[in-house]
Amino acid sequence: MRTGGNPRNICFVLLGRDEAALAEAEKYIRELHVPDGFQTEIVRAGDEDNMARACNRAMRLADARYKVYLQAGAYPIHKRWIGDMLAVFDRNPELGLLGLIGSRDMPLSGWWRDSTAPVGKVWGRDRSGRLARIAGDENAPQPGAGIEPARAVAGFCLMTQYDVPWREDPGFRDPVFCAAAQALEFEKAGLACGVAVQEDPWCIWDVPLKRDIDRAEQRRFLEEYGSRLWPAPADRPFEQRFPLVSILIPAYNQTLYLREALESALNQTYPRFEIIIGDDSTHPEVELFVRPYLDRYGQLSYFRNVKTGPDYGFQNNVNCFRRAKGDFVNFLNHDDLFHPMKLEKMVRYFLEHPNLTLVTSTRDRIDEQGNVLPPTPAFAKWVEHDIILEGRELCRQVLTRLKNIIGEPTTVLFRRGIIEPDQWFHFAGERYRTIGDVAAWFALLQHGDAAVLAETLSFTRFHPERNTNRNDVLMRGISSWLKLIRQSYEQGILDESGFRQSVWIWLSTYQSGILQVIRHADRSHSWYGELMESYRSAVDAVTRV
Amino acid sequence: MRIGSVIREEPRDLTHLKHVLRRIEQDVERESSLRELVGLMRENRYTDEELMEVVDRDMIDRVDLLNRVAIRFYEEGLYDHVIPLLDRAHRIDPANDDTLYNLGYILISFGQHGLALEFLRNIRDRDADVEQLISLAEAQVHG
Repeated sequence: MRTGGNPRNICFVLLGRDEAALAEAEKYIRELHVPDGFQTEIVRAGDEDNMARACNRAMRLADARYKVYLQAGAYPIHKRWIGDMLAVFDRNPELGLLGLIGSRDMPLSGWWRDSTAPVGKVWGRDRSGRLARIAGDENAPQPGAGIEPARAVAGFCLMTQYDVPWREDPGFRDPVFCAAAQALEFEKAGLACGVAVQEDPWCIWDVPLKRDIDRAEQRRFLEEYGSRLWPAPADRPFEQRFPLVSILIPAYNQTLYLREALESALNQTYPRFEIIIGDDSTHPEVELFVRPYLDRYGQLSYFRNVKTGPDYGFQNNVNCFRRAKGDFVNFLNHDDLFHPMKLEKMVRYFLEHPNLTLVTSTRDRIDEQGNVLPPTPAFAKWVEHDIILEGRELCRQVLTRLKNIIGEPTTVLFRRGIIEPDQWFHFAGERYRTIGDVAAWFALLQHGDAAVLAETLSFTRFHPERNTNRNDVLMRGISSWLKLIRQSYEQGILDESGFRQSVWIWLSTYQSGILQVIRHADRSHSWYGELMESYRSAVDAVTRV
Repeated sequence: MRIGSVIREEPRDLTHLKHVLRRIEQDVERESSLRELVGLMRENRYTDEELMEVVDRDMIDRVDLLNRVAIRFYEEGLYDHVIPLLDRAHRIDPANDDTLYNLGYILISFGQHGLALEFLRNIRDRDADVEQLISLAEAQVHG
């Protein structure tokens, strides 16, 4: 580390190959206000594939303590940029690297944008491709020192007051990994990273949003820096440090939401996963849709579910599960979404807490367009901070609410090998045709602990065609909850008093609905007899002395 | 089969137009960039639709930019382009006083006094210039 050059000079290092964009950026730089006694210079770093080498060459050429590395497509629009930047560095001598937007943590993808904790702001492209204000939590209190701490900073603009050589040897082509590596090099040198507190964004970053993670490059990044980012010992082979996760997508007759679901799986920051799509469709649309992805992504496989019996939708789930080779398994319903960091955050918990059988999190409801809907009681966030619970205690928490607070198949990452695939949606040897996911979680929770993460890490889509909106499913669900209470009692999860309490809750929750059904429903419905039997046995249980 | 059905129109590269408009918006070489834009439009290098497409997709302060460009087009005699730009600005923010004033001013200059009044009367922050324009338009409308 050194303070590189003239302390009254600021060097703008321009990176990239887009000549028109770089020529534009120079115009913007020339119009920035330069404080008295300071001067600026502009260095074109060349069009090398290796961004680190280009930066090092520029570092050697520049006679300036302060450097601003700008990639083609970045346009500084804050006229008092230089003075404000100097003030930040002046007030924070331990600050090595200053960015404009980033994240408090560093995702394994190296990309701040994958994080759940972004900080800073920029004018950048939103999902629709329009220029928009991209920002972290704008309501958060602004730190007084002019910076917000960040571990990952966006690479389109990096400002330094010390020279730390850029690592050329990993040869990252993706600027995201290059910037992430440099942030970690500053960290290794004992210097802080942060993003500037800005009233309005200092910069426009005009490039497309999309980024495909180059998995080979990510592996090099993690082999180099994994020990700083990941809890597993660095001397172990990569495969042991990053156990395989199986993402299972049972697909049926639609590709609109499936595309989003699949891409949310492919965009996981976690580096080692397989995706298995089981196709149960009545037409070839899904197969045709998946084909180009199969050519492109080696971790993806597809099979056509063979219809052997009446329950083939469920069998598709089981057949996906049978094919899973991962140490951990996460189903992904074909209309739901993962947060990019879902697997990373959840696998980390498994590594840090070996007794876990499952990890779940808050999940949001979304509509057809992906807009977040207000939570229902089952979806309401019920932990303020991450917690670890003994498995059976989590079962009791569910039974005192009679709500699926654990989540849908999309929500939960679980350890493979505890329940057999053909026992999916079973508890205590019995198949659950509704609330099968809750039954599966109960089966898993008999064998270890659960982590409940407070952050939203998955999204469950609600649309009119959704299966759980059907009346027969709702009615059967009421009976299934009572069956789950009874079996939990038989399995020793609930004691006598807990059992009676849960049945009371069941009655108080559903009694008025059941009485309505008795009054108005067509008794020929297949679920009617089962519901009446449940009601009689519940009344019997709570009135028994 | 007609030839038109096999020649597919490539989307036009509007990067240069975006650069020029952004400079105007961000006050970077603004005067020369406005001159350049006038030249480009005079040579029919871009259509109004393309200009507004770039404004919609790539600019930040769209209403201010549309007003600024419309005024320059008016001053340079590019009258055909002025109303479409102001109309777009008005649709983005119907309550923007600058847009309302500019629409009123330009419609008066085109002899559309009644229409001008509809915009001018919606201005919330009325200074002497606004009142003068309103009086002028009313005098023309009411004889």
